[in-house]
Amino acid sequence: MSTGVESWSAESFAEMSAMSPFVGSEVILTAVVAVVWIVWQIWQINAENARYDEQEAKL
Amino acid sequence: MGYDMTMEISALNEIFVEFYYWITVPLMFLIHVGFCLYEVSISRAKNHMHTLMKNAMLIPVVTITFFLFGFWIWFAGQGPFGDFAGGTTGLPWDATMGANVKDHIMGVFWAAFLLFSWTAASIVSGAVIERIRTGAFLILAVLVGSVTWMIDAAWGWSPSGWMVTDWGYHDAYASGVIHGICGGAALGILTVLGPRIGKFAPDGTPRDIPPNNPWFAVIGLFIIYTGFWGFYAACNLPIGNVNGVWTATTIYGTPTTLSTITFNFLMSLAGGMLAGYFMSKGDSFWTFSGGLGGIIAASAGNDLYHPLQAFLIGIAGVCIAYKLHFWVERKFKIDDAVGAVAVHGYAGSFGVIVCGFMLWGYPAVLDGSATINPLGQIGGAIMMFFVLGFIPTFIVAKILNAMGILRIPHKVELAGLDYVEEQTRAADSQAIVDAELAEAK
Repeated sequence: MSTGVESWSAESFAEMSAMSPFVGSEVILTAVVAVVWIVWQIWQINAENARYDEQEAKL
Repeated sequence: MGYDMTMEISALNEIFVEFYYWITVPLMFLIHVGFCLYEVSISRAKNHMHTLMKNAMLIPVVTITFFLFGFWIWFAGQGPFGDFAGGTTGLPWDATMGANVKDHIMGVFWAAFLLFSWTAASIVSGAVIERIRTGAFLILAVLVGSVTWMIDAAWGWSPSGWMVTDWGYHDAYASGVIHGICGGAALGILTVLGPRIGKFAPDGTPRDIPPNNPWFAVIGLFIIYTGFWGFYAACNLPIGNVNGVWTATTIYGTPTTLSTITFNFLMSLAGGMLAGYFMSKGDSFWTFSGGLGGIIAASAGNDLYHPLQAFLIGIAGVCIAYKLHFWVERKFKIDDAVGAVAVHGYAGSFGVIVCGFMLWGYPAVLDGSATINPLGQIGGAIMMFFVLGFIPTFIVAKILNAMGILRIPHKVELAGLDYVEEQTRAADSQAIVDAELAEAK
């Protein structure tokens, strides 16, 4: 079982390019991270709005 | 057993280039430290933590968007409508965008560009303190840091960018491509956002809202000067063969030297500080901002200017920027809390335009197929400040304003943006004191 590189031998190293695990999953990772970013941005705006609403009510 | 000397030297050269760029990254990190320090110092005590967090959070947001699409724009967008000649270069799934034994430089190059992106967003951040919502600012930070400045860099800060090849645009250390566009972007937001409460008297006379800590604000600017060295170094390619001569080059591949930019950085800084001191009659904030403005004004041509030319351009740029700042403030009721539009936008645009006259006829690219000229530079200054700077942020700020998420609510702005945290902290502290008193009994 290996998630990527299996050997640092001269032959393997000469043919190697990407060294990170799960090569080929980059497009899926990009989609996941894009969703994380957008969801975080929406959550931040909602949280900030709620905070100001609460603060305004107290003032 | 013999060594292949050519391979050894090539490897050393590659490692030198990697290390050169890598060193610029932590140096440029200091720009952000300086921006945070001086923004917080200028804000009033009731707004300190909001000011800090607004600026600090652009780091993760711009970083992730820059990885997702910002860096790709530079490779893909060098024609006026994008020629996509770069293929997947710069996209997150490209083989060079990660651990790759066949590529040693992309991550370092990416980081150098990314730190420019942080700076771009941070320039805008200072102008809008004490009344913009963090969420709105972060959307605008992504727009400037990962989109518009990357479009302008693709067009005007690359040897194959269409503004360079068609107009002869030249901007070696980013007078326009960073500072001009960010000044314009800040002005676009300020126009929609409006001034801080109390900034203008009922008759429209501007009031001075003094920095909470002028001493720390100046230290912040000092730290930005330090980081600016990294910015200058990162704008160069450290070693290249220009028609048989080994030399450093600009990002356009045209020759310059570290000696030249060291002379000119310091001389334009000196000119700007003298001018800032003279114009403000010794005000510390404007004197130090003047130093920054002096460098920015000379940056477009600091790859080739004589040091005394850089000095005089620094003086002229700061005098113009200072006068324009207060004229725009009075005339249009624009409250630019840190003078960012002036120091970056006006001084940068002036620097782009003056470069067209100073370097008129110089080759804009190595093969001489385009030459630097005043019209190309004037068009470039308009493109940077207005088309890619002012217009996009003005439109997005208008949308955010219509959605009611641009400006802090009136009551909250009056009470202070840290009101909740301060109340909570005071209550927590009191609870501890009460508990200690109870324990003592």
